[in-house]
Parts: sequence; structure tokens; C-alpha cells
Amino acid sequence: MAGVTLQNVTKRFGNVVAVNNATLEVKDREFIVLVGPSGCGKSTTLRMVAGLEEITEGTILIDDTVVNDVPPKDRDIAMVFQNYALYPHMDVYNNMAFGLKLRKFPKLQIDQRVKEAARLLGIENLLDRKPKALSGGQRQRVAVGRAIVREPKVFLMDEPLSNLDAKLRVQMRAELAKLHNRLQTTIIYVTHDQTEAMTMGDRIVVMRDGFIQQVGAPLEIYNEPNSVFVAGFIGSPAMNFMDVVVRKDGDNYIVDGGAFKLTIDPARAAQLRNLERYVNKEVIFGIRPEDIEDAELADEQLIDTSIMTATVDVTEPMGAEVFAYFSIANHSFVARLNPITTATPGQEHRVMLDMSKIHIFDKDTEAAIA
Amino acid sequence: MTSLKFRRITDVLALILALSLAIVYLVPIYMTVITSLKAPEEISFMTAWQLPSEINWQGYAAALQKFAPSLKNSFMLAISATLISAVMGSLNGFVLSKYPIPGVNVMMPLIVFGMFIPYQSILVPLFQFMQKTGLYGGLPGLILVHVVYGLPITTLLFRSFYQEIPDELLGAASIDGADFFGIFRYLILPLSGPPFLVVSIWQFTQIWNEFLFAVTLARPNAQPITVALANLAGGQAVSWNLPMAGSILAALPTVVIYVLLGRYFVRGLLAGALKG
Repeated sequence: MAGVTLQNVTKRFGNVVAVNNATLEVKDREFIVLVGPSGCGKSTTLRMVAGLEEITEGTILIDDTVVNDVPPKDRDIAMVFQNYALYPHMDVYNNMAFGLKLRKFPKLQIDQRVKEAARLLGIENLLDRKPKALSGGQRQRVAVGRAIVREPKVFLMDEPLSNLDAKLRVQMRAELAKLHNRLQTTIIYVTHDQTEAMTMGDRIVVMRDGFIQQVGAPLEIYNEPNSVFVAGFIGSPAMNFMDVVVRKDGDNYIVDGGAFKLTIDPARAAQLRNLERYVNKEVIFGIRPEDIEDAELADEQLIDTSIMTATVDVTEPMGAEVFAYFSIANHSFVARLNPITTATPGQEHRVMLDMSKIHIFDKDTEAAIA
Repeated sequence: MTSLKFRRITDVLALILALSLAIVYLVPIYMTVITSLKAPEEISFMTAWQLPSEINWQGYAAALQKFAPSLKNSFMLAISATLISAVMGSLNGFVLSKYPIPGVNVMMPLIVFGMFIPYQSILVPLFQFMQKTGLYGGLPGLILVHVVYGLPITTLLFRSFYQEIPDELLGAASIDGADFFGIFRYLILPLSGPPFLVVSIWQFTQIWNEFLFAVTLARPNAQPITVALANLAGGQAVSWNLPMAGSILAALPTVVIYVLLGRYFVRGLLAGALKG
């Protein structure tokens, strides 16, 4: 059991900077998720921790030991790969036992550990099969099993669920989370799927273009994204963004979108301490789809200064909710409405925005105004 | 309607042409087989085309006895040179496909260029080299030459095959605790059946059939079958059943190999060609 520390880690491939000055502290037994679009450097970061990729600059420590020049096999880590990387010529048993055999474990202990892991993962009946005779989900389990039997300090997982179909992915997601609870090991998990990040991680590391954008607990990142990128990446459907101007009316701050004027909840405005500086300037106004309600169905008292009337473009009934796409002047946004809404495509509809949950970003730096 | 009829006529013509070409192609084989099975006194120009009046195995018995040493040489030469060049090609291909070697994009074409150097062009310096190093005349020297000459093609074939093995598999093995030779021994080699088969068939056939190096670099006691056969054919009046039987004996191993394993060869070559 151990923590992993990255200190100013940079990775260059020729002129391309894949990971740029990344600093990160992964705590012992933490499930940390690196998330970002493809090419953001998350996999490269993981491969550097694994020792499969050399570090151009900086230091990586596992359990307080610098491992920059330690070969993968001596780092006491195990890795699960996206395509599982099972040895095609070995049966399931030997795939799982291979690492222990190379480490000269006694036969009895190997047998014990393999069978225990197989039981844990429900693949006892597959031990004599070759990988090609397994389904995607079964291969996935074997790959996890191969990592478990080694009982490493740190598990590294590189998009382990992305080759599974949607239903299986949801199931394995829960199983991996359960597994983490049971094994109590440090896990570094890479994914491009923000749902996986939100549901599995103790903490999330959002990456983009080689830079770490934000590190925090899932809800912290969800509720307080520090940039337009993080705000847009985490959450589905994504946060709505509109270009507006901040106005001041007495003590109240107003977002002025031309076609609408909405008053920011005073408590929220107080949190945005630098808002004063942006008065009469253009900013990016962000609001999540679930913070927009059908005004007709609002159970709170209607506040005129948080209501706008917009045209419904499309509605997507999801069963438990309806995604309604609106436009007003040159702005467009999506709202998650109660399925009993009467919003009809082509017609105007009144919606109420929860002005206590809004986000304001600097137009140039795209950083959150706090 | 007419076009269908026309097509049938051209089909028939094409078939006739193909059959006559096939006959032309098969005539030498026919002659070799029937002559090898005749008694010496039955062989003459006048009756050369006729089937033997009775099958006579004497030619084969004599050929086996006469060519036994050179057949043994051929087997030793072809088997050891094939094995060595295959193993070395496999190692080369592994390193050149899976490790970041600076200049590999220049190195690989240079290695492959070796395939296109005609034997004749290096014969004299090779001869001198072999004499100076004391390798001239014996089987070990000949084996060395064939191994070196085989490395370009074996390296190329193994490399093309290994490029298809996902890098993640090597990553998994190195995390599992395998070093360079561990990965080669436990992961790469067990997966190398198809390229080993292709390379072995190719190398064995090439080396078994090779004549020029053998005639230049081997003393009589190290001569492979190709040289021994040529010596006999060039000699004085012989009964022709003997060299014909010898020819068939010389051709047999490569034919047998191709008949048994030829489909794997084609499949293996295609695998590399289509995916690589």
C-alpha cells in the first residue's frame, strides 16, 4: 500500500509535449481518476508511473522512493490495459500466474492466489481457457485478476472498460469500485469517460493538452469547476455557456444576454468575490442543464428576475426526464426538464434558472471567476 | 447469346493453351522420372520417350549409395543454417520492431538491401575472406555464409510479423517481471510459430538448392548434393538412370516440405503482406 507522487513531471516526444509539468499527490489507498479528451496526456502519465515511458523531466515517487530509473517490474505495480493485453498463448490460469512464476513464488502460493482471485472475479470455471475463447467481459476480468494476484502497491488502469458494451461497462464500473473497497489499494485509473470519473474516483484529475487542469473530489469539480474546459467536460449533458455582460443594478449583479436579463442570487454573487471587476465587461455565463426548470412546474415561488422565455428547438424524452434544447436570440442551451413538461418544439416556453448555481468565467482566460 | 458462345470458344482455347504449356513444363520431369526407373541398357535416344519396360530401382540404390555423403552434407548444411538464421532473424526482428532504435528507418532498408546483392558479385572477396579466416572448404564456413545471406529475409519476415504484436502485450510482460530475454523467451517465441514456419521453409529450400557458394567454398568431402550431382553429370559416359535418380533424391526434401507445409507458407506470407 503506497502513495504516488509526481513532481513537475514533463514528457516530450520530440517537439510534442505530452505531459507538461504535472504535479500530483496520490494518497495511499486512494482511487484517483485521470480524465480528459484523447491526447490530453493522461495515458502517458500513467505509463510513466508504470515505467513503460521514460520521464523527460521531473520526479516520480512510489511509496516515497524515487522510481525514475526503476524498471517496471521492480516498481511493485500492476497494470490493466485497454485491450486487456492477455498473453494469447497462455490459458487464463497461466495468464494470471505468469507474474508470480517469474518472481519465483512457490507453486502452492501461486495456486492459492490465482484461485482466490478467480473466485473473487467469478472466473473459476474459465481457468483452462485461452483468451480467444473468452468474451470481452471475461477477458476484462482476467486482466484484472492478473493484476490482483500480484498484490501490488499500486494498480494502474488504462481505460479498462472502454472496450466493453454499455451495459457491461456499467456493471464492471460498480464491480471495480467494490473491488477497490475490498482490496484497499491505491488505484490510478485513466478514462476519457466523465461518468466513470464521477462515479468511481475518490478524486478526479482533469487533464487537457498535457496540463493538469483541476484536481478534486468529483462533486467539488462538478460544483466548482475552475475553467470553461472542466465545466464543459464534466457533466452530461454539458454545462451551457452563453456570452453575456455583467451589469450592476444597485446591490444586485445582473447577467445581460441582450435578449434576457437575469439577476444573480445575492448569496452566489457574494461568493464570486472578483465579480465587481467585471461589471460592464463581457464574460462567459455557465449554467448546468439541471439548474434550468420549466417555470410552469416550478414549486418555488416564481422570481421574475430568473425567468426567460425561449424557443424550444428539440425535445429528447429520456423517460425520467426530458432534454429540451432552447434558443433565445443568438444563445442556445439545454435543460433537463421534468417529463410532464409541456414544452413543445417550435413554441416558446418559460424557463426558470437557478441563479444561485451559476458560473461566471473570464472571457479571455476562460478561468472561473471566484 | 453470341457473347456466351464466344466466351465458351475462348474458354476452350485458353484451356488448350494452358494444357499444352503444362505439358511442355512437365516434360523434363516426365523424362527424369522414367529414365531414373529404367535399366541402364534400356536407355537410348531412340526409346527415350517410352516408359520403362519394367521398373528398375537399381538407379536409386546406386544413387543413394553414391550420394549418401553429399546428402548428409546437404541436410547438415540446410538444417543448421536454417535454424541459426531463423533464430537470429527472430531476435533481429524483435529488437527492430519493438525497441526504439535510433536510425531504424535507415537500418532496415540497408539490411533488406542484402537480399538483392547477387551471389556472383561478392564471390571473389568472399572466397578470399574464407581462406584468410581458415573457414574455406568445410561445412561450418558454408553454414556461416548461408546464415549471413539469409539474415536480411529472415529479419524482414520476423519484423513484419512482430509489428503486429501489440506493444501493450510487451508492457504487460515487463510489468509482470520479464526482462528483455524473458519477454523474448516467454512471449515472443511462443507466438512465433507462423513466421518460423515461413522462414524455415524458405531458408531450407534456398540453402538446399544453392549451388554457387557450395561449388566455390566447399572441398569435395563437404560438398552438398547439388555439387555432387553436377560433378556426376559433367563426368564421362554414365548410365543415365543414376544421375536422374540422384536428381529426384535431391529434389525430394524440398518437394516434400512444400507439399506438407506449403499452404502454411502461403498463409504466413499473406498474413505479413496484408497486415504489414
